[in-house]
Amino acid sequence: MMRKTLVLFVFLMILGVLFCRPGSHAAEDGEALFNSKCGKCHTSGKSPVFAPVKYASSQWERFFKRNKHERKKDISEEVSEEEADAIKKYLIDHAADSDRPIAAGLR
Amino acid sequence: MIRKNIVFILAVLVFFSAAYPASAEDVVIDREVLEKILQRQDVLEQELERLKESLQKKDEEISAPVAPTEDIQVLKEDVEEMSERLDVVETKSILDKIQLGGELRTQMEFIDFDNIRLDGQERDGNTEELWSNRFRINLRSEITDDIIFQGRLSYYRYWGGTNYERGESSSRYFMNPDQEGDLYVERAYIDYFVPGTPFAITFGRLPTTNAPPYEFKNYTTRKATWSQLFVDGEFDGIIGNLSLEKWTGLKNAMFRVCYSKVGQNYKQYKGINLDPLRVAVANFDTEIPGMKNSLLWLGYYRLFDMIPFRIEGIPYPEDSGDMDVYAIHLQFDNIKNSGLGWFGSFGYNNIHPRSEGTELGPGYEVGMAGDSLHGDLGKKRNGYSVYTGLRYILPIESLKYPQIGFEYNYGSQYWFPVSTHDVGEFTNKLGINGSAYELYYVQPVAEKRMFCRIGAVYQDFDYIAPMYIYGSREGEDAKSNMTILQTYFLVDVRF
Repeated sequence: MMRKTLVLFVFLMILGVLFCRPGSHAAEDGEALFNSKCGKCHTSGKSPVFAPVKYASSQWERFFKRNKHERKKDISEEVSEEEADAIKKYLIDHAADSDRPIAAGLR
Repeated sequence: MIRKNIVFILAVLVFFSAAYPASAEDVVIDREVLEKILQRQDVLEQELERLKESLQKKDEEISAPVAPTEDIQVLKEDVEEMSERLDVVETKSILDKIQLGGELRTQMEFIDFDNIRLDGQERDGNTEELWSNRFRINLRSEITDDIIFQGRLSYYRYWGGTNYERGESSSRYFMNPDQEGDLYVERAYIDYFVPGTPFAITFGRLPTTNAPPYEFKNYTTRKATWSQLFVDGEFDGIIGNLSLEKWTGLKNAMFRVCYSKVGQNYKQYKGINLDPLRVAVANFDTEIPGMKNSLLWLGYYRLFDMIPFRIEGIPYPEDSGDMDVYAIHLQFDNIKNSGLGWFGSFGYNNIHPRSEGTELGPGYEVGMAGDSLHGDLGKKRNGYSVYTGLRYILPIESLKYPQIGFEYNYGSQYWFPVSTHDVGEFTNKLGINGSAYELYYVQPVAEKRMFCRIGAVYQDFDYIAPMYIYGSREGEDAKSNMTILQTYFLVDVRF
């Protein structure tokens, strides 16, 4: 009985892989973009330095939804929509309430 | 408009000055005309004066705009009110010293046993569907910038509060009875980052459960210090952490040494005279250059003076020997952004038993990994284990990027890990002396917050407990044909 369940499970999984519409893994590297694009200005002396943990994920969502950056500076020419999406994902993935890595001596 | 008027007036003035040159003596003007001109001049001068005043007024307005007094008053009141509210929120925020989080997992599983050896006979058996809950409370407090507390209280129990009865000798494979039932402290430790140095001290009940690569199937990130094959279980001790990132340029490079002591109350307990079991650990781990989200992990530990087999009234040694364990773990979470993750672990243990054992009868002594029945009390033994697996993130956005994974591990006859199990797993597949296979599918429901997993673990034993701490089995006596198939479905929610 258990073996049949297992076989069925594997079969369904293979079926799912074969027939589902594929998306893409080719997402931009959010961290690298964050460092290169955001880091240009948000370094000491210019604009306030900040890290993803500055806000919780819902606050980052709101930040992008309301395009809050535009109120201070329009960066649409420097950062494309795709890049902004990748940066947003990175910030949310590492937000204050995100699932952080844990190990001894790790901040 | 104003400027145009001024220009116009100036133009008129210039026109008149040109029309009536300075040598007025030579020009004859009708008196009436002259009076009209002078009147017109007066009018224009007045107009010019008026325009100047208007222009000056406008300039003053531009340089110092003034809002209506009532609006300013309303704004001031609003700001004061908001400031008062923020003070309340800030005070509460400062007093909220502990951040709380939680995890709840409900699991349903079937377990099918074949060829279990009972009373000298091999039997088959299976369970009905077993339901269980696992609940965790996660704690974190940033006491200062350099002192951080983290903890986890856990609870695990089958529905209805019934637990499976298992013998102590099998706790190496089956769930540790201590971890069932009541809420218990799974981890509670302080990280103290020595200011201005790359050094940190960690002490308390350490983060040593659910280690890499278990984050693959648990749909999460790294959650422990050691690798899963190396140590999985509650571990009290002190760790010295030295960050090597600045010196080596290797991201997250860290060297650690750890000291732990187990069973230190035995000398005071019922007059039992035993050496305390001490543990020393050294470990280095880092992200591999050029491989984002990778982990290279190396570790070594030594168990000093392991607890011997004891029977009241019968002579036994104060300890049964030492054991060394070496492990290496390599992990890539998402190879070249393809969605494919891979890990591989290798563990090796080296047992140094004492040649003195517990006297069970005339000429018959039992010691760690040795059995005088076979005439090999004190014989050194080595074991090893390999553990590898793949995890693929399916590129299906509409299904929130589900994952499939496969894991395989093998333990040789004398492989003896210091691990119990992942809380909630019925068996510790990494403690097997044989082969184990696991296949699973993870369906995210809410990103990193809720997921379902369906899977199966198949374990094929070559040996059944061939090497108890208190003795080993040899030959046919140790061999086993037992298999266990566990199929499960679980839902996990984090908040």
